[in-house]
Amino acid sequence: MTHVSRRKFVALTVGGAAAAPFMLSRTSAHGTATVTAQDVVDRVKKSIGVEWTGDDVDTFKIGDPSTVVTGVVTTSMATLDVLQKAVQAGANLVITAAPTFYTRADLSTPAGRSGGPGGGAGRGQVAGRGAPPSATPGPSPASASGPGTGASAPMPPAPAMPQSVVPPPQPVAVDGRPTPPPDPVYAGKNDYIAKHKLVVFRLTYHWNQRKPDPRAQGLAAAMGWTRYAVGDDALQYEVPALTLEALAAQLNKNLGTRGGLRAIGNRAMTVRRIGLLPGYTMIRAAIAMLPGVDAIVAGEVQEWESATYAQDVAFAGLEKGFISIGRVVNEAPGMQVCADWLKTIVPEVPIRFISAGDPYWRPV
Amino acid sequence: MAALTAGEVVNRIKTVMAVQGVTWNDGTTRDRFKFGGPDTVVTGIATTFMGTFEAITTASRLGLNMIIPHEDTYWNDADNTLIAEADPLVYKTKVDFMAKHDIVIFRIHDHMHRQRPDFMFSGTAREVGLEPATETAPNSHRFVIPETTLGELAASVKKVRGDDAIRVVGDPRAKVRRIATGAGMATPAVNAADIDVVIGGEQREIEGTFDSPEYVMDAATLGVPKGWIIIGHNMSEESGMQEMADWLRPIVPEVKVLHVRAGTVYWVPK
Repeated sequence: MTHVSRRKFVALTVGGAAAAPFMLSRTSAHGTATVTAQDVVDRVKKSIGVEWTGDDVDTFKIGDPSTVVTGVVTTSMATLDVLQKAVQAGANLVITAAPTFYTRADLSTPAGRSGGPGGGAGRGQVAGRGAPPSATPGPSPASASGPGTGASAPMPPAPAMPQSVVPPPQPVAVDGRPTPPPDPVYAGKNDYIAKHKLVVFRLTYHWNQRKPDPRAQGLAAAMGWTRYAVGDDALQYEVPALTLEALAAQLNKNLGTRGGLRAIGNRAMTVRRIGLLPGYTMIRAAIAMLPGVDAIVAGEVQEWESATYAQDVAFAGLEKGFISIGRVVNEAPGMQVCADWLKTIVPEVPIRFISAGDPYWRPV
Repeated sequence: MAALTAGEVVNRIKTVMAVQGVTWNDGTTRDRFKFGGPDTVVTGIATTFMGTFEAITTASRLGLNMIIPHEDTYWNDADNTLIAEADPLVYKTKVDFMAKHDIVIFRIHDHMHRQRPDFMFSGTAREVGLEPATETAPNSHRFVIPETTLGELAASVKKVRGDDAIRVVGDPRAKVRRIATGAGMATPAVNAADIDVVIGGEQREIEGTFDSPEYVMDAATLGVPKGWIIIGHNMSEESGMQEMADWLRPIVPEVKVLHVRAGTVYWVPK
């Protein structure tokens, strides 16, 4: 079990992304041997400790796998901001928990639309990738990660779906007609990736199957709870008593959340036993955990499931709390753990974690 | 006069909907009785966003024993009670309360979304302060407003709605004027070229239909004006149940029909 110090995690999560870049040189103290992006991924598959189930979401998303790696950045989500910070730090391989191109299919160009000069053919740059995943839009319950993923299906988006839900198909250019303008966000991201010859690999499905769950392990480290662990699955902690309000505030502070953290339950209730539901979880997981703890700290749940359950429990006057920190925020500590683990199998190059931060802010 | 039963209320809903062009689909697992049944005598009707314990209790105290929620009662979309029965904390308390107070619950979801206007969209627009006159066409769910910034728009939404747990992604200084609205999970993606801001209910943060939060974060880095205002599933659909109460009232004149709020879901740390 890789230990992540609380100070180190906080530094990297809150302000670390802007910290001084580490110095990188292929002939530095890290030695003269070169390692390609494919080499790194091959070592991950060999050492990860869970069966590699083939071509799922954990694939190269863009860039040439034969690229010689100058440095590795792990991140919760490969936003353009994170990619820029990776380049500033001298890294050219980014390993991300969340998609890079806004869908599970992770295509670098939107359907039927040019991604813009320099990056439009991003898909073609990816070698060694098997059959592309289905590009069918829509929730993918089968891919939902985290413990206790229940059989209860998410609500299908059937009724009255607005037309703009998926990128609209663009007319094919015909002689004499202008091609539709490229999506400026795809284009800008592709351009930056091409210019800096970045390689992006997604690592989430297999990584989060490790025991203990790296997201839970990293979250506990960030919160200073590791020594309070109950059992060895990193999912429950018996902490010194605090109020639910104080717990929410501490999570905000230590995880660097802005507007993404939301809570249910009596603010003044006392919390001692905390249970974690990392990632995206469904109602069965919440029902299985809440009776045995004072408060749940979850990544992401659906409002009509676990949130309403917690609302009903609180309305009945029971002293139970529920806090949602957000999916991307919850992936961050797991990818901090990933960076520390990667250092042990890729000693040739510098490796660090850069957080994508909390996507959300709150209006005043 | 014979007492009004829940079955009669449902029959009238089906009849009026059919007249208005929404034929009833008996195949839905959603729009069905969730507690009690057609024989229950109705003392009054409460429409609400979700069959929360709070909504049921409030309705009962107001003398309304028929609850018409838009969403589920047992914390899963299919209202599979086997899932809820596993909970030792509140399930039995809730069911016992409903039995004791002769509650009958009939959910109305799929058929509401087929009505025009879809009350969930018109209700949301009303409750976030979007003037109907600014909608580009009836039921387009697109609004063009005088140019403002994302920060000012979000602040005005919060001021009108009053809820704390409104979440926003994007550069607060981004200049915006073209808005698309969403209700519940039917929240449009933000990447359409002719949309600056989406004001919606709920979406998977990643691996949903489209990962709008990441797209807007990248747009902000590139200086492309985009915004994502996510007000919550409850907040985006509770308001439409006011419209539903108004729709129901003339067809069940025998009893009182009120909109009862399902309750605030989330709070945020001070």
